[in-house]
Amino acid sequence: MGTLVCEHDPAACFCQRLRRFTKQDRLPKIRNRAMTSVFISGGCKSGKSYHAQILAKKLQQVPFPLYYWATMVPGDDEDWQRIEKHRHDRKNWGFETLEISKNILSVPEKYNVNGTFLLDSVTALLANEMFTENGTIVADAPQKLSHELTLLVERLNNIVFVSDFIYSDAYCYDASTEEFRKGLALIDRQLAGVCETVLELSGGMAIVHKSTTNRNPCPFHSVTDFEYP
Amino acid sequence: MILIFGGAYQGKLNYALEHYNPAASVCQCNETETRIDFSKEIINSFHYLILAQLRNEMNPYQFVNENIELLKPKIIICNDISCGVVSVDGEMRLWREFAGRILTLLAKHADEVVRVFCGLGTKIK
Repeated sequence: MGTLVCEHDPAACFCQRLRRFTKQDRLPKIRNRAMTSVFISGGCKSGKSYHAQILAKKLQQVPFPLYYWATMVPGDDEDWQRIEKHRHDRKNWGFETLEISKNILSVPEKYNVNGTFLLDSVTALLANEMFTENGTIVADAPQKLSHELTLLVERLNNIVFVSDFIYSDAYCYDASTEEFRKGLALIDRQLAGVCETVLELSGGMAIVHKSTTNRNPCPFHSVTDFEYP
Repeated sequence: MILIFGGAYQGKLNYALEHYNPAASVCQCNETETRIDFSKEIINSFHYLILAQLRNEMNPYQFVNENIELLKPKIIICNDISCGVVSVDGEMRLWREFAGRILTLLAKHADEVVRVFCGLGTKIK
């Protein structure tokens, strides 16, 4: 127990096989191996990143690499120090850090698609794409990113997405912030639609919103099975 | 009554149309209109009705209580606005407090309560 990939007879268990496609994004299958995708969201400091790291580690299929996909564009020295610290922390987990903050479709070309990718976070990725240096907003960035991330779900062996749930406060934001929230929600809904597993983190606990367990009970999918080191 | 709530932009209206009644008519609340068109089957953005009533010095809690029989055959969709920082703006504070209390009141009378997260619904009642 405690492994994300089903240990049942693969032929009898749907959990490794079922994937959702949107028609226009359907790509030829390039591998006939276990693939999975996980979407995680939740409030701030709810344990999303930690949970995502554990899941990614469990999903890794040795000898294929485990990638931490860093998305933040560092702005100052403090950012660089934070990044350096995180990078050091993750080395102990066995993560190799890749830094791609734009043009995300280059990832399958540059890195091993058989690897397991942890993308933290979708929020930062959208901010990079949407807000330009001269202060303008790219209005179609959410649609573009949503499309590209969907393609990555198909191309990469295992991928875990981390996003931020920024939709439940009582505040009227300015137009550009509201545009950003709306855009991130569009991506979140799309990823929640195409990913096999959808988790909401709350107080360090995962609420399972979607799991292939509905179709065919499988031991891994119960939250209690996740092992915390 | 079916109560559907969740964060902003989570696909709540789509969820209602998809799972309950694709042909339902929708009353879209906004920040200025203090009344509901009770001829419609879905009352969308109920949180805006609350805000509109507060801005017009009405008591939305009392409004819901008095109109509960009319609301019972409806699908009510409301944003959950309860999870932000306490606002310095008095109106926003009042808004989220009323929204919280009214959600609780509606949930008590509802036959079904669904929370929508990223387009995925969880029935919590």
